Amino acid sequence: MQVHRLVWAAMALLVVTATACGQNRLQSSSTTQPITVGLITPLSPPGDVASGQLIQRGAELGVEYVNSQLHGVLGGRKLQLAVEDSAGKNDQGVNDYRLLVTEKKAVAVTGFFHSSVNIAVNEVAHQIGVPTISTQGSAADITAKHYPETFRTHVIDPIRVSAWLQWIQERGFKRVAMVAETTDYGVGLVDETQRQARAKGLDIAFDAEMFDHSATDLTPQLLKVKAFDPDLLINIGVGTPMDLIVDQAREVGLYPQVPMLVSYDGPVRPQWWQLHPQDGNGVYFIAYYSPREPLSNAGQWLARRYQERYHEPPVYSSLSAFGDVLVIAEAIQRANSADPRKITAALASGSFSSWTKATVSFPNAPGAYYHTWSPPVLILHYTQPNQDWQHAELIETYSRKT
Amino acid sequence: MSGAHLAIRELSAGYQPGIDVVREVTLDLPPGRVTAVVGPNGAGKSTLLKTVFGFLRPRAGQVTLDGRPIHSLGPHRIKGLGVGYVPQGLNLFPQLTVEENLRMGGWTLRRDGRRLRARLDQVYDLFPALRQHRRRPAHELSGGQARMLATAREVVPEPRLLLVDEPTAGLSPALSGQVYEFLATVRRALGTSLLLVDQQIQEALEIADHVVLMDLGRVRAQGPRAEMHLARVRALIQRCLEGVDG
Amino acid sequence: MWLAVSPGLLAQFTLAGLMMGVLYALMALGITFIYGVMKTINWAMGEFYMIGSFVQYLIVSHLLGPDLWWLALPATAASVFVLGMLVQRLLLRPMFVGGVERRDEYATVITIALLLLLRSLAAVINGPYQHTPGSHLPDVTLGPLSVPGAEVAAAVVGVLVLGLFFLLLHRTWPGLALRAAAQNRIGVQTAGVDLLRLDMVAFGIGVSLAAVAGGLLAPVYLVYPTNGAVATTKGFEIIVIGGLGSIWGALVGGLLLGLAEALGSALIAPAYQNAYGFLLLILLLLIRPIGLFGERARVV
Repeated sequence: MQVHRLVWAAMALLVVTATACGQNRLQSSSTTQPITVGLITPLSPPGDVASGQLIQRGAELGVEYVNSQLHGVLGGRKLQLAVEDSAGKNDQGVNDYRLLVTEKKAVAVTGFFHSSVNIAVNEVAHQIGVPTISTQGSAADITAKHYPETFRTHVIDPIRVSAWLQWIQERGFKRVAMVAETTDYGVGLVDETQRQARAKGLDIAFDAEMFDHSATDLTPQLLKVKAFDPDLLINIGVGTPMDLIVDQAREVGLYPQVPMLVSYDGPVRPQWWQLHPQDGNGVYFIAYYSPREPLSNAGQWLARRYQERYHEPPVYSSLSAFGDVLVIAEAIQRANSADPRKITAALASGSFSSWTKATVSFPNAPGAYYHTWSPPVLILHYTQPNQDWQHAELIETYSRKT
Repeated sequence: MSGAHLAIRELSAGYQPGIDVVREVTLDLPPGRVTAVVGPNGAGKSTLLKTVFGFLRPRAGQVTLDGRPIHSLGPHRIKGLGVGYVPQGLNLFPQLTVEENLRMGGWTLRRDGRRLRARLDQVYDLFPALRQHRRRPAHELSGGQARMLATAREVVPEPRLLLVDEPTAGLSPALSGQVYEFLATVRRALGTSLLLVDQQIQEALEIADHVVLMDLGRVRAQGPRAEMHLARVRALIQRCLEGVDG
Repeated sequence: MWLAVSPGLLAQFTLAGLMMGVLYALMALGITFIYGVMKTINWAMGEFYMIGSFVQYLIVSHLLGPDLWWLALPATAASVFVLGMLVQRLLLRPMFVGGVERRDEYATVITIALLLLLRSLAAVINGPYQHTPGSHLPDVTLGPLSVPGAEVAAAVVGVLVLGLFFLLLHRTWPGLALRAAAQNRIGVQTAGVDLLRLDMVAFGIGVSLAAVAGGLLAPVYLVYPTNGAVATTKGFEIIVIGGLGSIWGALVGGLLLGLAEALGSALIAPAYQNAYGFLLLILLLLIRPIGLFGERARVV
């Protein structure tokens, strides 16, 4: 009997010790395991693949920066990126989000380019509670529903339009033509431009010609614009359409007689001069940083690494995605936790550094400005062929005054 | 030009694995002779011809042409050895002209333009009605002219063996008679061996030197025409239909 | 909404539409030709257009320069021809050598999978870039319209290529065999044609036509991984308009589509450019469902 008790006691001790060790191992592995950040972005058609790839580049470099320069989060835990392809489709984006959150244990999800995908995912995020940060979605409803889990770091339409309307007023343009793609982006900018102009009582005549993003012959639209006799043409195409508008506007005799403003920083890329060796000169375009609006240390690191790896400066899509990963890492630190709910609270209450020297925060602001941070908007102007964008004339910097 | 010697030994073939439509068929076609294969529906007669021409790979057995095995060759290779195949129905190119149809028949002679031209002229001599309509698309021909063209086309490359599958299927007696005249013309002119399948037993027997009766994939009886005369063949077929072994 | 269009400008739009129609016809011709011979639809045709544009760009920008674009074009066509034959041999031949029961479904699945593979591969390899081989051809002035020289050259060469194609079909032995195979696949075999090899050649020719269109339009509409998507859509619109399997249908259908888009854009609204082709398609389907030159199976 004595022996039996001893044996039972020994066995009990063994079990307890084993359990305790096992627990410890589990705890230590969960505190050293990487933390996953999800990226949902278009990497196949019908999504905008080029934009998705640029976003992925930025996000990957963001993870690399956090791990190598900041030594991870929460005492050395590495970040890792889990990438899912939305293909620009809402249902696929939603499936991606569920996969990232349930199987890959993503603590936050970013990378969104297509507004419609972002909006669909945010409905699910609102239920599940893992926060999303929109990298490049411009539609108001992404944050206008005021779901606490939803955030955005993108120049939304009102800010971009405010910038160029200010410039238009300063330059005295009276007849403004817009050639825009029928995406949320294009339609949103056209509507917002006309709305703000009305609200501000501006004496400007507008002509808006729309085209399908997949269209390749835009001469009919441009001929209509020419008949309107504008003194400014705003090019609201993204990617290939933007380039086609530049070429075809020249073909119909519209440009460079009529100055052109490109609605985003496409002309920053070296391929601009390969595609438009002559026509590229003289164009005005939106950008988000310049030598006079310098990058933060993190941004400078990104610019260097990006240039080394991809032989061109980072464009907005990459900058924004890089910044989103950085913000998520900082929110994890601030929350001192990888719990998505705590990360959400940290995002809503904190200030963060990003690729630009401006501080990032997500205010509880009205309408689409809710949880939205926008970088400054610059208007640059190429004044000679083959010009490095960093030497382009800086017309003005526009920041939203809250 | 003389006909080829076709030898078939224990040939078995089918469209689905494990199901033979042709079973252990053995027959010999001497050069320049006509062998008629007759039998009820589903006997495997057409399948036999398809197998000989390479449309079907046999499961077992052998087919030789002048001693050379051909049972593993594809149709275009067998054609190149001088075998022609006139399948059931019309095998024409409806939108091509008569001349183009004949030229397609001479595909294997395409590198010898002179010989091809000579052959076309000879074929036109054999079938003068075709010369008249040489520029018309084939679909505009009458039934008889179309049959003529189908036969003529196979004859352009001077085949040494012609496989003919039910040439009179669905035709009126008058047209059937015409078709057999074409075949007789070809045989006289070229000395081609003929392996002929037909349900019209009477006409087939008239042209045949040797008769083979098939039923359910097997050869039930064969012999020279003198032995396999019409009455006997009909009786044998009746027995097949009644399920009595031949 | 109505654009006030002068007769002169309307004439220019018509000409521009016809020029575009020639290129559309090239795209559609490949699809209809392959269908005619092999009785299968190649859903990945647009990706061969895309590959053609990339090959043309690479040869011009890295080897020959923009002035020798016309020398690069046969190389583009030849390389995609070879690629097409390989694709047919490896992916589609199994349909014809037994073991595949539902041929249409097989072809659809395989060619759609090929479409996705080629498009995704191009996106991954190319990255987020667009390219142009460039062109030194001077603009051509047609009334008030200035048309890029490259676009005019594309239309002219397109017509030449169509002419060459017709010559191939009607004056050569392979052409005769191809026309015959489109009418009777058993018949060409009994004639002694190696049909499996002919299918390879037909597929190669079909995709190289699309590649030529891609190469010709590379300096006009840029080179990027998804530029074939439009070619696929237009190609299939045209073969429905013109009749599946009809070569004349591809030509006339292409011209009609180009005209419909140009005139619709000029007279109604340019924003709905893509819709005019579909309206034409619906109209024709109501009047003549088999297409302008389509035929119900004709047997003798």
